[in-house]
Amino acid sequence: MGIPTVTLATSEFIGLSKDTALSQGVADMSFVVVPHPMGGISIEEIKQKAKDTFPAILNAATRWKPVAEMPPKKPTYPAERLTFKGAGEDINTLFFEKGWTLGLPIVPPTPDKVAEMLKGTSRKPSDVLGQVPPRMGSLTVELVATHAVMAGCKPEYMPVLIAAMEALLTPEANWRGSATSTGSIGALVVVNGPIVKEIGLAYSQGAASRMHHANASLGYAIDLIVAVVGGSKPPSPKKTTLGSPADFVAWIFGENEDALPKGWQPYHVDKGFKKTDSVVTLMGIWPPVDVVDLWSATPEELSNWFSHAVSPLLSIGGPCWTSQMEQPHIIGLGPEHADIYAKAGWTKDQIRKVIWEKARIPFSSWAKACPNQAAFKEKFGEVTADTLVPITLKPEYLQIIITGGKGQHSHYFAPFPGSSPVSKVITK
Amino acid sequence: MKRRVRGGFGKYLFLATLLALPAIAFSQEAVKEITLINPEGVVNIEPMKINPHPANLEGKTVVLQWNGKQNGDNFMNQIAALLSENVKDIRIIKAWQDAPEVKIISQNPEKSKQLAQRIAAFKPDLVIAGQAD
Repeated sequence: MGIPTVTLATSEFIGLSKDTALSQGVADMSFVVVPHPMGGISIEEIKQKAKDTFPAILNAATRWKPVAEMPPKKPTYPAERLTFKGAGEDINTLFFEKGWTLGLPIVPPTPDKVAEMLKGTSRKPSDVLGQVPPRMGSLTVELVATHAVMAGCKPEYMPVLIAAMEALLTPEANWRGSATSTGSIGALVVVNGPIVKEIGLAYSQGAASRMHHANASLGYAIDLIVAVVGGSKPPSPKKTTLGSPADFVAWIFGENEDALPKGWQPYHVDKGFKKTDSVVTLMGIWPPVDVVDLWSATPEELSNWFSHAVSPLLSIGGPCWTSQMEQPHIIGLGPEHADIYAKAGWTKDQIRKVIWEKARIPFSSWAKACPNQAAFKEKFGEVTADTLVPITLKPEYLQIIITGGKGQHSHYFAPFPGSSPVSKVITK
Repeated sequence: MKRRVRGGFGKYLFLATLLALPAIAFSQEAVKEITLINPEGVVNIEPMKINPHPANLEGKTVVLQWNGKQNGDNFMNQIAALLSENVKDIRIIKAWQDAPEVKIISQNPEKSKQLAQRIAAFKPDLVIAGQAD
Protein backbone atom coordinates (compact mmCIF):
# COMPACT_ATOMS: atom_id res chain seq x y z
CA MET A 1 0.00 0.00 0.00
CA GLY A 2 3.04 2.23 -0.09
CA ILE A 3 2.83 3.39 3.55
CA PRO A 4 5.93 3.16 5.76
CA THR A 5 5.54 1.91 9.34
CA VAL A 6 7.32 1.94 12.66
CA THR A 7 6.36 -1.07 14.79
CA LEU A 8 6.62 -1.02 18.57
CA ALA A 9 7.08 -4.26 20.51
CA THR A 10 8.14 -4.95 24.07
CA SER A 11 11.48 -6.59 24.84
CA GLU A 12 9.74 -9.90 25.55
CA PHE A 13 7.94 -9.94 22.22
CA ILE A 14 10.47 -8.44 19.81
CA GLY A 15 11.67 -11.96 18.88
CA LEU A 16 8.14 -13.01 17.92
CA SER A 17 7.64 -9.75 16.06
CA LYS A 18 10.77 -10.28 13.97
CA ASP A 19 9.89 -13.93 13.30
CA THR A 20 6.42 -12.88 12.19
CA ALA A 21 7.83 -10.24 9.86
CA LEU A 22 10.25 -12.77 8.36
CA SER A 23 7.43 -15.25 7.82
CA GLN A 24 5.62 -12.63 5.76
CA GLY A 25 8.60 -11.90 3.53
CA VAL A 26 10.01 -8.96 5.50
CA ALA A 27 13.66 -9.63 6.26
CA ASP A 28 14.17 -6.24 7.86
CA MET A 29 11.57 -4.07 9.54
CA SER A 30 11.57 -0.79 11.41
CA PHE A 31 11.15 -1.94 15.03
CA VAL A 32 11.43 0.03 18.24
CA VAL A 33 11.74 -1.98 21.44
CA VAL A 34 9.93 -0.87 24.61
CA PRO A 35 10.92 -2.46 27.94
CA HIS A 36 8.42 -5.16 29.02
CA PRO A 37 5.78 -5.11 30.45
CA MET A 38 3.08 -2.76 29.33
CA GLY A 39 0.15 -4.51 31.03
CA GLY A 40 -0.39 -4.27 34.76
CA ILE A 41 1.70 -1.13 35.35
CA SER A 42 0.71 2.41 36.37
CA ILE A 43 -0.04 5.26 34.00
CA GLU A 44 3.00 7.11 35.33
CA GLU A 45 5.27 4.21 34.36
CA ILE A 46 3.63 4.11 30.92
CA LYS A 47 4.25 7.83 30.41
CA GLN A 48 7.88 7.45 31.43
CA LYS A 49 8.39 4.52 29.02
CA ALA A 50 6.83 6.57 26.23
CA LYS A 51 9.10 9.52 27.03
CA ASP A 52 12.20 7.29 27.14
CA THR A 53 11.29 5.57 23.85
CA PHE A 54 10.27 8.69 21.93
CA PRO A 55 13.72 9.59 20.53
CA ALA A 56 14.06 6.06 19.10
CA ILE A 57 10.60 6.33 17.54
CA LEU A 58 11.42 9.67 15.90
CA ASN A 59 14.69 8.25 14.62
CA ALA A 60 13.00 5.15 13.22
CA ALA A 61 10.27 7.27 11.61
CA THR A 62 12.65 9.37 9.54
CA ARG A 63 16.05 7.67 9.33
CA TRP A 64 15.47 3.92 9.20
CA LYS A 65 16.51 2.02 6.07
CA PRO A 66 16.34 -1.77 5.48
CA VAL A 67 19.57 -3.73 5.36
CA ALA A 68 18.82 -7.48 5.45
CA GLU A 69 17.42 -9.43 2.49
CA MET A 70 15.34 -12.58 2.28
CA PRO A 71 17.43 -15.77 1.78
CA PRO A 72 17.39 -17.41 -1.66
CA LYS A 73 14.70 -19.98 -2.36
CA LYS A 74 15.39 -23.72 -2.20
CA PRO A 75 13.52 -26.70 -3.68
CA THR A 76 10.87 -28.14 -1.36
CA TYR A 77 11.40 -31.71 -2.56
CA PRO A 78 13.27 -33.85 -1.97
CA ALA A 79 14.18 -32.86 1.58
CA GLU A 80 17.86 -32.36 2.30
CA ARG A 81 19.81 -35.48 3.22
CA LEU A 82 22.62 -35.38 5.74
CA THR A 83 25.27 -37.93 6.53
CA PHE A 84 25.75 -38.69 10.19
CA LYS A 85 28.84 -40.46 11.44
CA GLY A 86 28.84 -41.56 15.03
CA ALA A 87 27.10 -43.78 17.53
CA GLY A 88 23.40 -44.28 16.95
CA GLU A 89 22.57 -42.90 20.38
CA ASP A 90 24.14 -39.56 19.38
CA ILE A 91 21.57 -38.97 16.63
CA ASN A 92 19.06 -37.84 19.25
CA THR A 93 21.62 -35.45 20.70
CA LEU A 94 22.32 -33.99 17.26
CA PHE A 95 18.66 -33.62 16.40
CA PHE A 96 17.88 -31.92 19.72
CA GLU A 97 20.76 -29.48 19.32
CA LYS A 98 19.46 -28.56 15.86
CA GLY A 99 15.94 -27.98 17.21
CA TRP A 100 14.56 -30.99 15.40
CA THR A 101 13.06 -32.74 18.42
CA LEU A 102 10.94 -31.74 21.40
CA GLY A 103 13.43 -33.04 23.96
CA LEU A 104 12.07 -36.60 23.80
CA PRO A 105 13.72 -39.46 21.85
CA ILE A 106 12.86 -39.92 18.18
CA VAL A 107 13.32 -42.72 15.67
CA PRO A 108 16.07 -41.58 13.25
CA PRO A 109 14.43 -40.74 9.90
CA THR A 110 16.45 -42.66 7.33
CA PRO A 111 15.39 -42.56 3.65
CA ASP A 112 14.46 -46.26 3.83
CA LYS A 113 12.19 -45.76 6.83
CA VAL A 114 10.53 -42.73 5.21
CA ALA A 115 9.99 -44.68 1.97
CA GLU A 116 8.29 -47.42 3.97
CA MET A 117 6.11 -44.86 5.75
CA LEU A 118 5.07 -43.35 2.41
CA LYS A 119 3.48 -46.70 1.46
CA GLY A 120 0.69 -45.73 3.84
CA THR A 121 -0.60 -43.06 1.47
CA SER A 122 -1.34 -42.74 -2.23
CA ARG A 123 -0.29 -39.07 -2.13
CA LYS A 124 2.87 -38.08 -3.98
CA PRO A 125 5.77 -37.33 -1.62
CA SER A 126 6.39 -34.06 -3.47
CA ASP A 127 2.86 -32.74 -2.77
CA VAL A 128 3.03 -29.57 -0.67
CA LEU A 129 0.27 -29.41 1.95
CA GLY A 130 1.07 -25.81 2.85
CA GLN A 131 3.35 -23.63 4.97
CA VAL A 132 3.31 -24.29 8.71
CA PRO A 133 3.12 -21.08 10.76
CA PRO A 134 4.77 -19.22 12.28
CA ARG A 135 8.05 -20.19 10.56
CA MET A 136 6.20 -21.01 7.30
CA GLY A 137 8.26 -24.13 6.60
CA SER A 138 6.94 -25.92 3.50
CA LEU A 139 5.27 -29.19 4.53
CA THR A 140 5.49 -31.87 1.87
CA VAL A 141 4.00 -35.35 2.14
CA GLU A 142 7.62 -36.58 2.34
CA LEU A 143 8.14 -34.41 5.42
CA VAL A 144 4.91 -35.64 6.99
CA ALA A 145 6.27 -39.17 6.56
CA THR A 146 9.62 -38.08 8.03
CA HIS A 147 7.97 -36.85 11.19
CA ALA A 148 5.72 -39.92 11.29
CA VAL A 149 8.89 -42.05 11.34
CA MET A 150 10.40 -39.89 14.07
CA ALA A 151 7.27 -40.29 16.18
CA GLY A 152 7.09 -44.05 15.71
CA CYS A 153 3.90 -44.10 13.60
CA LYS A 154 2.84 -47.02 11.42
CA PRO A 155 2.30 -46.42 7.68
CA GLU A 156 -1.46 -46.97 8.03
CA TYR A 157 -1.65 -43.86 10.24
CA MET A 158 -0.47 -41.59 7.41
CA PRO A 159 -3.93 -40.70 6.01
CA VAL A 160 -5.04 -39.43 9.44
CA LEU A 161 -1.84 -37.41 9.89
CA ILE A 162 -2.06 -35.85 6.42
CA ALA A 163 -5.72 -34.90 6.90
CA ALA A 164 -4.98 -33.43 10.36
CA MET A 165 -2.20 -31.28 8.93
CA GLU A 166 -4.42 -30.14 6.05
CA ALA A 167 -6.99 -29.04 8.61
CA LEU A 168 -4.36 -27.26 10.71
CA LEU A 169 -3.11 -25.32 7.69
CA THR A 170 -6.49 -23.77 6.82
CA PRO A 171 -7.05 -20.09 7.70
CA GLU A 172 -10.07 -21.11 9.79
CA ALA A 173 -7.83 -23.05 12.20
CA ASN A 174 -5.83 -19.87 12.96
CA TRP A 175 -2.82 -22.01 13.84
CA ARG A 176 -0.46 -19.01 13.82
CA GLY A 177 -2.31 -17.62 16.83
CA SER A 178 -2.36 -20.96 18.64
CA ALA A 179 1.35 -21.55 17.94
CA THR A 180 2.55 -18.20 19.27
CA SER A 181 0.06 -17.36 22.04
CA THR A 182 0.94 -16.66 25.67
CA GLY A 183 -1.77 -19.23 26.48
CA SER A 184 -1.28 -22.98 26.99
CA ILE A 185 -2.78 -23.81 23.61
CA GLY A 186 -2.74 -27.28 22.11
CA ALA A 187 -4.28 -29.06 19.15
CA LEU A 188 -7.50 -31.02 19.63
CA VAL A 189 -7.92 -33.73 16.97
CA VAL A 190 -11.16 -35.73 16.88
CA VAL A 191 -11.48 -38.62 14.44
CA ASN A 192 -14.75 -40.14 13.22
CA GLY A 193 -15.70 -42.95 10.91
CA PRO A 194 -14.40 -46.41 10.00
CA ILE A 195 -10.72 -45.50 10.13
CA VAL A 196 -10.87 -45.23 13.94
CA LYS A 197 -11.20 -48.99 14.33
CA GLU A 198 -9.17 -49.79 11.22
CA ILE A 199 -6.00 -48.32 12.72
CA GLY A 200 -6.80 -49.06 16.37
CA LEU A 201 -7.20 -45.41 17.40
CA ALA A 202 -8.47 -45.32 20.98
CA TYR A 203 -11.93 -43.85 21.41
CA SER A 204 -13.25 -45.23 24.67
CA GLN A 205 -11.76 -45.70 28.17
CA GLY A 206 -8.70 -43.47 28.58
CA ALA A 207 -8.74 -42.59 24.89
CA ALA A 208 -6.57 -39.51 25.46
CA SER A 209 -4.33 -41.29 27.94
CA ARG A 210 -1.28 -43.50 27.50
CA MET A 211 -0.84 -47.04 26.14
CA HIS A 212 -2.55 -46.41 22.81
CA HIS A 213 0.03 -46.64 20.03
CA ALA A 214 -1.93 -44.87 17.30
CA ASN A 215 -2.99 -41.97 19.54
CA ALA A 216 0.43 -41.53 21.12
CA SER A 217 2.45 -41.62 17.92
CA LEU A 218 0.01 -39.49 15.90
CA GLY A 219 -0.20 -36.87 18.66
CA TYR A 220 3.60 -36.84 18.88
CA ALA A 221 3.97 -36.50 15.09
CA ILE A 222 1.59 -33.53 15.00
CA ASP A 223 3.53 -31.72 17.71
CA LEU A 224 6.87 -32.53 16.04
CA ILE A 225 5.65 -30.97 12.80
CA VAL A 226 4.32 -27.79 14.40
CA ALA A 227 7.54 -27.35 16.37
CA VAL A 228 10.15 -28.35 13.76
CA VAL A 229 8.58 -27.32 10.45
CA GLY A 230 6.44 -24.59 12.00
CA GLY A 231 9.09 -23.34 14.42
CA SER A 232 6.67 -23.09 17.35
CA LYS A 233 9.15 -23.30 20.23
CA PRO A 234 9.45 -21.43 23.54
CA PRO A 235 10.60 -18.87 24.54
CA SER A 236 10.02 -17.38 21.06
CA PRO A 237 8.07 -17.42 18.86
CA LYS A 238 5.99 -19.72 21.10
CA LYS A 239 5.27 -17.25 23.90
CA THR A 240 3.31 -19.63 26.12
CA THR A 241 3.56 -18.47 29.73
CA LEU A 242 3.70 -22.03 31.08
CA GLY A 243 2.86 -24.49 28.29
CA SER A 244 1.40 -27.97 28.80
CA PRO A 245 1.99 -31.65 28.06
CA ALA A 246 -0.16 -31.13 24.95
CA ASP A 247 2.95 -29.40 23.55
CA PHE A 248 4.50 -32.90 23.32
CA VAL A 249 1.50 -35.03 22.31
CA ALA A 250 -1.59 -33.42 20.82
CA TRP A 251 -5.04 -34.28 22.15
CA ILE A 252 -6.16 -36.97 19.67
CA PHE A 253 -8.88 -39.60 20.02
CA GLY A 254 -11.83 -41.05 18.21
CA GLU A 255 -15.34 -40.02 19.11
CA ASN A 256 -16.95 -42.89 21.01
CA GLU A 257 -19.53 -43.65 18.33
CA ASP A 258 -20.32 -47.00 20.01
CA ALA A 259 -21.67 -45.09 23.00
CA LEU A 260 -23.88 -42.71 21.04
CA PRO A 261 -27.37 -42.72 22.53
CA LYS A 262 -30.11 -44.02 20.23
CA GLY A 263 -31.09 -41.38 17.73
CA TRP A 264 -27.92 -39.28 18.20
CA GLN A 265 -25.66 -38.85 15.18
CA PRO A 266 -21.85 -38.91 15.24
CA TYR A 267 -20.09 -35.54 15.21
CA HIS A 268 -19.06 -35.75 11.56
CA VAL A 269 -22.63 -36.48 10.50
CA ASP A 270 -23.77 -33.41 12.48
CA LYS A 271 -21.27 -31.48 10.35
CA GLY A 272 -22.70 -32.77 7.09
CA PHE A 273 -20.49 -35.76 6.28
CA LYS A 274 -21.72 -39.29 5.52
CA LYS A 275 -21.61 -41.81 8.32
CA THR A 276 -19.29 -43.98 6.20
CA ASP A 277 -16.82 -41.12 5.73
CA SER A 278 -13.68 -41.09 7.84
CA VAL A 279 -13.16 -37.52 9.03
CA VAL A 280 -10.63 -35.67 11.16
CA THR A 281 -11.55 -32.42 12.95
CA LEU A 282 -8.88 -30.11 14.38
CA MET A 283 -9.12 -27.01 16.56
CA GLY A 284 -6.70 -25.00 18.72
CA ILE A 285 -7.87 -25.29 22.34
CA TRP A 286 -7.22 -24.10 25.86
CA PRO A 287 -6.50 -26.90 28.37
CA PRO A 288 -9.80 -28.80 28.67
CA VAL A 289 -11.97 -28.67 31.77
CA ASP A 290 -12.81 -32.05 33.33
CA VAL A 291 -16.45 -31.65 34.33
CA VAL A 292 -16.77 -34.06 37.24
CA ASP A 293 -20.34 -34.71 38.25
CA LEU A 294 -20.94 -37.84 40.31
CA TRP A 295 -24.26 -36.72 41.79
CA SER A 296 -26.63 -35.29 39.20
CA ALA A 297 -29.49 -37.61 38.36
CA THR A 298 -31.48 -35.44 35.97
CA PRO A 299 -30.61 -33.47 32.83
CA GLU A 300 -31.51 -30.25 34.63
CA GLU A 301 -29.09 -30.94 37.51
CA LEU A 302 -26.32 -32.04 35.12
CA SER A 303 -26.77 -28.95 32.92
CA ASN A 304 -26.70 -26.75 36.00
CA TRP A 305 -23.40 -28.21 37.19
CA PHE A 306 -21.88 -28.30 33.72
CA SER A 307 -22.62 -24.62 33.28
CA HIS A 308 -20.85 -23.66 36.51
CA ALA A 309 -17.82 -25.72 35.57
CA VAL A 310 -17.19 -24.01 32.26
CA SER A 311 -18.00 -20.38 32.98
CA PRO A 312 -14.43 -19.47 34.10
CA LEU A 313 -13.38 -19.99 30.48
CA LEU A 314 -15.26 -16.85 29.64
CA SER A 315 -12.32 -14.77 30.83
CA ILE A 316 -11.14 -13.95 27.36
CA GLY A 317 -14.57 -13.76 25.81
CA GLY A 318 -17.15 -11.09 26.28
CA PRO A 319 -15.94 -7.52 26.05
CA CYS A 320 -12.29 -8.59 25.96
CA TRP A 321 -12.34 -10.80 22.89
CA THR A 322 -15.72 -10.85 21.22
CA SER A 323 -14.47 -13.29 18.56
CA GLN A 324 -14.53 -16.15 21.05
CA MET A 325 -18.28 -15.66 21.41
CA GLU A 326 -18.73 -16.11 17.66
CA GLN A 327 -16.98 -19.41 17.11
CA PRO A 328 -17.76 -23.05 17.97
CA HIS A 329 -16.89 -24.53 21.37
CA ILE A 330 -16.91 -28.31 21.86
CA ILE A 331 -18.69 -30.15 24.66
CA GLY A 332 -17.27 -33.66 25.10
CA LEU A 333 -19.99 -35.60 26.91
CA GLY A 334 -18.86 -38.74 28.68
CA PRO A 335 -21.15 -41.70 27.82
CA GLU A 336 -22.65 -41.87 31.31
CA HIS A 337 -23.53 -38.17 31.25
CA ALA A 338 -24.91 -38.59 27.70
CA ASP A 339 -27.14 -41.39 29.01
CA ILE A 340 -28.65 -39.09 31.67
CA TYR A 341 -29.76 -36.77 28.89
CA ALA A 342 -30.82 -39.51 26.47
CA LYS A 343 -32.94 -41.44 29.02
CA ALA A 344 -34.93 -38.24 29.60
CA GLY A 345 -35.43 -37.92 25.85
CA TRP A 346 -33.20 -34.85 25.42
CA THR A 347 -31.71 -34.07 22.03
CA LYS A 348 -28.37 -32.37 21.40
CA ASP A 349 -30.24 -29.16 20.54
CA GLN A 350 -31.98 -29.16 23.92
CA ILE A 351 -28.67 -29.71 25.74
CA ARG A 352 -27.02 -26.85 23.84
CA LYS A 353 -29.89 -24.49 24.58
CA VAL A 354 -30.04 -25.20 28.30
CA ILE A 355 -26.29 -25.05 28.87
CA TRP A 356 -26.12 -21.85 26.83
CA GLU A 357 -28.81 -20.29 28.98
CA LYS A 358 -27.16 -21.32 32.26
CA ALA A 359 -23.40 -20.88 31.53
CA ARG A 360 -23.23 -17.13 32.15
CA ILE A 361 -21.35 -14.73 34.39
CA PRO A 362 -22.17 -11.14 35.33
CA PHE A 363 -20.75 -8.42 33.09
CA SER A 364 -19.08 -6.90 36.15
CA SER A 365 -16.73 -9.94 36.23
CA TRP A 366 -14.66 -8.49 33.41
CA ALA A 367 -12.01 -5.83 34.03
CA LYS A 368 -12.88 -2.27 33.06
CA ALA A 369 -9.85 -2.25 30.76
CA CYS A 370 -11.33 -4.88 28.42
CA PRO A 371 -10.93 -3.06 25.10
CA ASN A 372 -13.86 -4.24 23.05
CA GLN A 373 -16.80 -2.96 25.11
CA ALA A 374 -18.32 -1.11 22.13
CA ALA A 375 -18.05 -4.10 19.78
CA PHE A 376 -19.47 -6.36 22.47
CA LYS A 377 -22.48 -4.12 23.10
CA GLU A 378 -23.10 -3.82 19.38
CA LYS A 379 -23.43 -7.62 19.14
CA PHE A 380 -24.99 -8.41 22.51
CA GLY A 381 -26.87 -5.28 23.40
CA GLU A 382 -26.70 -2.86 26.30
CA VAL A 383 -25.54 -4.29 29.61
CA THR A 384 -25.40 -3.37 33.27
CA ALA A 385 -23.00 -4.72 35.86
CA ASP A 386 -25.49 -7.48 36.69
CA THR A 387 -26.28 -8.56 33.12
CA LEU A 388 -25.47 -12.28 32.72
CA VAL A 389 -23.27 -12.86 29.66
CA PRO A 390 -23.28 -16.27 27.85
CA ILE A 391 -20.25 -18.21 26.55
CA THR A 392 -21.30 -17.78 22.93
CA LEU A 393 -23.69 -15.47 21.16
CA LYS A 394 -25.97 -18.36 20.21
CA PRO A 395 -26.45 -21.97 21.40
CA GLU A 396 -25.67 -23.38 17.96
CA TYR A 397 -21.99 -22.60 18.60
CA LEU A 398 -21.89 -25.36 21.25
CA GLN A 399 -20.96 -28.56 19.39
CA ILE A 400 -21.39 -31.93 21.13
CA ILE A 401 -19.28 -35.09 20.84
CA ILE A 402 -19.15 -38.28 22.91
CA THR A 403 -15.77 -38.67 24.59
CA GLY A 404 -14.08 -41.41 26.59
CA GLY A 405 -15.48 -44.39 28.47
CA LYS A 406 -17.07 -45.25 31.81
CA GLY A 407 -17.03 -42.67 34.61
CA GLN A 408 -19.10 -39.60 35.35
CA HIS A 409 -16.88 -37.10 33.62
CA SER A 410 -17.38 -34.87 30.63
CA HIS A 411 -14.96 -32.37 29.13
CA TYR A 412 -15.20 -28.87 27.79
CA PHE A 413 -12.91 -27.80 24.94
CA ALA A 414 -12.83 -24.01 24.60
CA PRO A 415 -11.37 -22.69 21.35
CA PHE A 416 -8.40 -20.41 20.97
CA PRO A 417 -9.74 -17.09 19.60
CA GLY A 418 -10.21 -17.36 15.87
CA SER A 419 -9.66 -21.14 15.79
CA SER A 420 -12.71 -22.98 14.46
CA PRO A 421 -13.00 -26.78 14.33
CA VAL A 422 -11.94 -27.64 10.77
CA SER A 423 -12.97 -31.01 9.35
CA LYS A 424 -11.28 -32.88 6.50
CA VAL A 425 -12.19 -36.18 4.89
CA ILE A 426 -9.46 -38.78 5.38
CA THR A 427 -8.38 -40.36 2.09
CA LYS A 428 -5.93 -43.17 1.64
CA MET B 1 62.04 -65.21 39.80
CA LYS B 2 61.61 -62.82 36.86
CA ARG B 3 60.00 -65.53 34.70
CA ARG B 4 57.45 -66.39 37.40
CA VAL B 5 56.51 -62.71 37.85
CA ARG B 6 56.14 -62.13 34.09
CA GLY B 7 54.03 -65.25 33.60
CA GLY B 8 51.86 -64.34 36.60
CA PHE B 9 51.33 -60.77 35.41
CA GLY B 10 50.38 -61.91 31.92
CA LYS B 11 47.69 -64.22 33.28
CA TYR B 12 46.22 -61.41 35.36
CA LEU B 13 46.22 -59.06 32.38
CA PHE B 14 44.50 -61.65 30.19
CA LEU B 15 41.88 -62.33 32.85
CA ALA B 16 41.23 -58.61 33.42
CA THR B 17 40.78 -58.01 29.69
CA LEU B 18 38.42 -60.98 29.38
CA LEU B 19 36.27 -59.69 32.24
CA ALA B 20 36.25 -56.12 30.86
CA LEU B 21 35.14 -57.03 27.34
CA PRO B 22 31.35 -57.16 28.05
CA ALA B 23 31.56 -53.84 29.90
CA ILE B 24 33.42 -52.23 27.03
CA ALA B 25 30.91 -53.57 24.50
CA PHE B 26 28.00 -52.37 26.67
CA SER B 27 29.26 -48.84 27.08
CA GLN B 28 30.33 -48.13 23.51
CA GLU B 29 27.91 -48.42 20.57
CA ALA B 30 29.69 -49.00 17.30
CA VAL B 31 30.38 -45.89 15.25
CA LYS B 32 28.49 -45.98 11.97
CA GLU B 33 27.72 -43.80 8.99
CA ILE B 34 24.04 -43.24 8.30
CA THR B 35 22.01 -41.03 5.96
CA LEU B 36 19.20 -39.07 7.58
CA ILE B 37 16.50 -36.74 6.28
CA ASN B 38 16.45 -33.14 7.49
CA PRO B 39 12.96 -32.77 8.98
CA GLU B 40 12.86 -28.97 8.99
CA GLY B 41 11.44 -28.13 5.57
CA VAL B 42 12.51 -25.11 3.55
CA VAL B 43 11.12 -21.61 3.91
CA ASN B 44 10.35 -20.01 0.55
CA ILE B 45 8.59 -16.70 0.95
CA GLU B 46 8.22 -13.93 -1.59
CA PRO B 47 10.04 -10.85 -0.33
CA MET B 48 7.81 -7.91 0.53
CA LYS B 49 8.63 -4.43 -0.72
CA ILE B 50 9.58 -2.07 2.10
CA ASN B 51 8.38 1.49 1.74
CA PRO B 52 10.87 4.34 2.23
CA HIS B 53 10.40 6.51 5.31
CA PRO B 54 9.85 10.29 5.05
CA ALA B 55 12.89 12.49 5.67
CA ASN B 56 10.96 14.42 8.32
CA LEU B 57 7.46 14.49 9.84
CA GLU B 58 6.70 18.24 9.56
CA GLY B 59 3.27 18.77 8.02
CA LYS B 60 2.79 14.99 7.71
CA THR B 61 -0.14 12.77 8.75
CA VAL B 62 0.77 10.04 11.23
CA VAL B 63 -1.65 7.27 12.21
CA LEU B 64 -1.19 5.63 15.60
CA GLN B 65 -2.45 2.03 15.70
CA TRP B 66 -3.30 0.16 18.94
CA ASN B 67 -4.16 -3.57 18.96
CA GLY B 68 -6.29 -3.40 22.09
CA LYS B 69 -3.77 -4.86 24.55
CA GLN B 70 -3.65 -3.26 27.99
CA ASN B 71 -2.05 0.20 28.23
CA GLY B 72 -1.28 0.37 24.51
CA ASP B 73 -3.69 3.30 24.22
CA ASN B 74 -2.12 5.09 27.18
CA PHE B 75 1.32 4.67 25.62
CA MET B 76 0.14 5.90 22.23
CA ASN B 77 -1.63 8.88 23.79
CA GLN B 78 1.69 9.91 25.30
CA ILE B 79 3.48 9.45 21.96
CA ALA B 80 0.80 11.58 20.32
CA ALA B 81 1.40 14.35 22.87
CA LEU B 82 5.18 14.20 22.36
CA LEU B 83 4.83 14.26 18.58
CA SER B 84 2.57 17.33 18.78
CA GLU B 85 5.05 19.12 21.06
CA ASN B 86 8.12 18.32 18.99
CA VAL B 87 7.05 18.21 15.36
CA LYS B 88 5.72 21.27 13.57
CA ASP B 89 2.31 21.04 11.86
CA ILE B 90 2.05 17.27 12.40
CA ARG B 91 -1.45 15.75 12.05
CA ILE B 92 -2.09 12.77 14.31
CA ILE B 93 -4.91 10.26 13.88
CA LYS B 94 -5.59 7.72 16.62
CA ALA B 95 -6.95 4.82 14.58
CA TRP B 96 -8.77 3.18 17.50
CA GLN B 97 -10.85 6.35 18.04
CA ASP B 98 -11.78 7.07 14.44
CA ALA B 99 -12.11 3.38 13.40
CA PRO B 100 -12.72 1.20 16.51
CA GLU B 101 -12.89 -1.91 14.32
CA VAL B 102 -9.08 -1.83 13.93
CA LYS B 103 -8.52 -2.24 17.65
CA ILE B 104 -8.16 -6.03 17.47
CA ILE B 105 -5.74 -8.89 16.99
CA SER B 106 -6.27 -9.79 13.36
CA GLN B 107 -6.03 -13.62 13.79
CA ASN B 108 -5.46 -14.37 10.10
CA PRO B 109 -3.78 -12.85 7.01
CA GLU B 110 -7.11 -11.91 5.40
CA LYS B 111 -8.17 -9.92 8.44
CA SER B 112 -4.72 -8.33 8.64
CA LYS B 113 -5.16 -7.12 5.08
CA GLN B 114 -8.56 -5.64 5.92
CA LEU B 115 -7.09 -3.82 8.93
CA ALA B 116 -4.25 -2.46 6.80
CA GLN B 117 -6.71 -1.25 4.16
CA ARG B 118 -8.80 0.50 6.77
CA ILE B 119 -5.75 2.25 8.19
CA ALA B 120 -4.56 3.13 4.68
CA ALA B 121 -7.92 4.85 4.10
CA PHE B 122 -6.73 7.60 6.49
CA LYS B 123 -4.02 8.37 3.88
CA PRO B 124 -1.16 8.52 6.38
CA ASP B 125 2.43 9.38 5.54
CA LEU B 126 3.54 7.02 8.34
CA VAL B 127 1.94 4.52 10.69
CA ILE B 128 3.23 3.85 14.18
CA ALA B 129 1.78 0.53 15.34
CA GLY B 130 1.93 -1.19 18.73
CA GLN B 131 2.06 -5.01 18.58
CA ALA B 132 2.05 -7.98 20.94
CA ASP B 133 1.29 -7.89 24.69
